[in-house]
Amino acid sequence: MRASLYRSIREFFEHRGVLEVETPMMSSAGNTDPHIDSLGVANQQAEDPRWLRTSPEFPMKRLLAHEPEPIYELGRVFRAGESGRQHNPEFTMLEWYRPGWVMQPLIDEVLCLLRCCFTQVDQCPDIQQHDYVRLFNGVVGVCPIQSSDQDLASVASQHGLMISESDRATCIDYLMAMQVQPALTDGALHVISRYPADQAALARIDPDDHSRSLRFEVFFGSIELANGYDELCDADQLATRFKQENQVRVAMNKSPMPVDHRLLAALEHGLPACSGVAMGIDRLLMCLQGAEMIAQVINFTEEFA
Amino acid sequence: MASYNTNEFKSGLRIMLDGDPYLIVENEFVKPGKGQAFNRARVRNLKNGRVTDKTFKSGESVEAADVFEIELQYLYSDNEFWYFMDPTSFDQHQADESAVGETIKWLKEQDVCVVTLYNGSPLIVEPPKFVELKITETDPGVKGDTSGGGSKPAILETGAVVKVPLFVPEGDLVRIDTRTGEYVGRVKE
Repeated sequence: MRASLYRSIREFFEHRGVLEVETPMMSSAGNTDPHIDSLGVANQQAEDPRWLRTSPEFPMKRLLAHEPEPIYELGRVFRAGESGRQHNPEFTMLEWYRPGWVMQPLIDEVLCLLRCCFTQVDQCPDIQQHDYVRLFNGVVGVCPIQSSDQDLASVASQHGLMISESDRATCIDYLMAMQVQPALTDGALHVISRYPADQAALARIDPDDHSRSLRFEVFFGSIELANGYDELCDADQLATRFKQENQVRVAMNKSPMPVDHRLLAALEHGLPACSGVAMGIDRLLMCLQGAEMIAQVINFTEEFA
Repeated sequence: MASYNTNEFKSGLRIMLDGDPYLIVENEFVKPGKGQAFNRARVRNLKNGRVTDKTFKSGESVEAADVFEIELQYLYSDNEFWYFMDPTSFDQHQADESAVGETIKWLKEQDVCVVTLYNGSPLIVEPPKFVELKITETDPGVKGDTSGGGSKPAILETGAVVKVPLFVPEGDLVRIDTRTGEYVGRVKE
């Protein structure tokens, strides 16, 4: 199943003229995202530490800055401490970039690829497109942009979140993961787009509405499959986000991560306007096989590796 | 004060929430690709048995509940408290009605029970899986009918009412499975 899925993915991109690339798994830079922990390589000399990639995003963007061609990579990524029913610390990610594309054509291409995959198991899931804010508001009855921190915190704690201090981002993540996602219709593909600006990650802020970002996610039922952006291409803004993220890491008692200066240099040189998306392939296999646990689609999960 | 980090969460752990001791029944790691990781725990309130879902930010610490189980021998009751003794240390513990609960109907002096202690006091008293109790009242036995078939109610020395086969007479000692409340067999004295 895994082998035939890889074959379909490669055929899909070959037909569309998207080039397969390979980028390093070990990098001198880590991920500054406060909620993603990079794994360090233990045998590396102390003066030149290396980190296992948490996604191929940064080197792929450097390739795009060098030559604006559509590219994809299918490979293993690593995230410390992520282990559970839908998580394994190493997993397979498909990531691709479309120079010159805005968000909607990329969403359409993601859905097209997913449809191809589901056709092979004789399924044709419905597709539902949602606006993030409208969906969130509809399910939990509170606006993720306009509501006060206190309102969000009280709704989150009504729904069973135990927190010592109210933190807006945590409440939003919680309500999204525990209330909104489970409310998505089973067996259908859901696209949720235009995330609030403070949930932008590495997406551009919507130039027409500064409260929103050009970010989307794709779910099959409640299972998160893909995350995509109309990419942030501004080196200064990206440098600022890296810095802020490292400050958050320090505040969380986590060590700050070495920033990818080569990526920042590439952006200064010029990253073409582009959209990109990352898809969890093990999760996709779960959905295609109707598996409940990621361990059903990975031969040797963490505890047996 | 002892505490547990969410990454130590597993079923069977006892934690304090809102001032009550809880048992973790199930624990699940939940994390959006971008964003905060959570541990969603299904927890049972050890005081009232209610089960709820509570979610914690991964990495946070939660106070451990001073709850553990020991085997204690039941001594007697003064109808307000039920008294137990630790057979090794001879320490005595008194359990109130809410701790003894349904177990009351199986409690026979000298029997050893598993008692959950919370801050040193009995919180839950579990009866032995099997108890041997005397029938104090039942209809006269039907001689010769040992093949089973019918059954009749019988009142035991602790006050519990169970169903026993027709041939079992008053005064007999019977073995009862306390998990189901069912008759297992007669015990020869």
